[in-house]
Amino acid sequence: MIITHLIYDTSSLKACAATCFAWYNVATPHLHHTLTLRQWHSETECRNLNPLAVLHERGLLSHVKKLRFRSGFSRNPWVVPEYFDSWGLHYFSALVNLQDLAIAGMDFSKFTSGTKKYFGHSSPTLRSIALIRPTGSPRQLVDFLALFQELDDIKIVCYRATPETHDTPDTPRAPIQGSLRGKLALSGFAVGEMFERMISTFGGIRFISLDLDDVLGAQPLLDACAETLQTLRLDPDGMLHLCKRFSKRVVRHLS
Amino acid sequence: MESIVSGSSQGFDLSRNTALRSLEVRASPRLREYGTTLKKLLPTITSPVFSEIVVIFSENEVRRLPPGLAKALHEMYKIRKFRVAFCLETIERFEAHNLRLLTSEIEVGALKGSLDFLPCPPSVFSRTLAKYDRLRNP
Repeated sequence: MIITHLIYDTSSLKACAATCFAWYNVATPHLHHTLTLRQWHSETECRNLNPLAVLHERGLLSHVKKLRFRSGFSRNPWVVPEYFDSWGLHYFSALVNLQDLAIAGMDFSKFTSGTKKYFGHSSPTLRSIALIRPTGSPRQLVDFLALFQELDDIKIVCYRATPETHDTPDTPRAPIQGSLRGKLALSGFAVGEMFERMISTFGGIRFISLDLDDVLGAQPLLDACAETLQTLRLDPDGMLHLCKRFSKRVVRHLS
Repeated sequence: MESIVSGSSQGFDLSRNTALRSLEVRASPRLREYGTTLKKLLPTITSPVFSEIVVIFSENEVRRLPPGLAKALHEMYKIRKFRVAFCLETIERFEAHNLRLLTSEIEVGALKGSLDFLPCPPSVFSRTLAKYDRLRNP
């Protein structure tokens, strides 16, 4: 179909959708392929997940394959349970074909009852996840990733690790086999305990591609993927920045 | 301190990675400075299937090629033989024009003749990025 050549041209797609019902049916999945949610000003009294309500009303939520939560104001984490009120959660659960999730500013520590209630419905379909400036303990982060058993690609940028809380004990479970075999992109943090959690939770990792940018302690990650890693990507700017940052720390320590 | 720094952050050891096929490096203006790190990294590669270094360009870097790119590649090539591929990563709208630009830089532009040390000319290809993939902060 000619329409599939227009997937990046939103205005042409809209024109196609307005032509006739047959074209509407072909164009609509492309038009609503990606949904972006933003933090709204409280003064507007609009719900944060308001676009979901509109799409739900028109029966379009099942077309959404890529969902993005954009950065909040002041870069503070805004993806917290309060934003998923009963209606928001109802709409959110209707995103049954989600394959790609990008969240900027998620605070795992606020999800005291876990994240499964909010994101578990995407477990069978989600293949790719990007977390930008997530906050929480390594266990909370890895438990969140473990919700998605078919996950291939993971991107984590500027992870703000918080100490482990022992309010809820570790629930022993069998390692998830067969996942984490795609691409891992890390940027701007030390891998450390998150990596160990990942290994124990997923029973090993088998990434074929690693993208390391300004990451401390990545050697165990390379070793863990010894038999599977095919492509290693490095960023000169990130590595030099890391080196300078590390040098300063060493100088400070020595002095 | 030099040894501490190189041993921790820059000094990756890839000797255990038996399936490694390619290294990808962004065509940063600091690539020449970073070349020293890559020169230390290359001898650690023992993978029998390693064959390629992919230099990643954004549209900005295609318009302004990083200085010393060819020289950095040449110095690395002296340590270990590899093929070179140039990859343009951009969104669909900028793809065709910048791919032509990159190809012409190699054939008749700034990189003409500077990559003659390679047994075959670098291959050029592109990857289309989703808009948010370009940003650290979607």
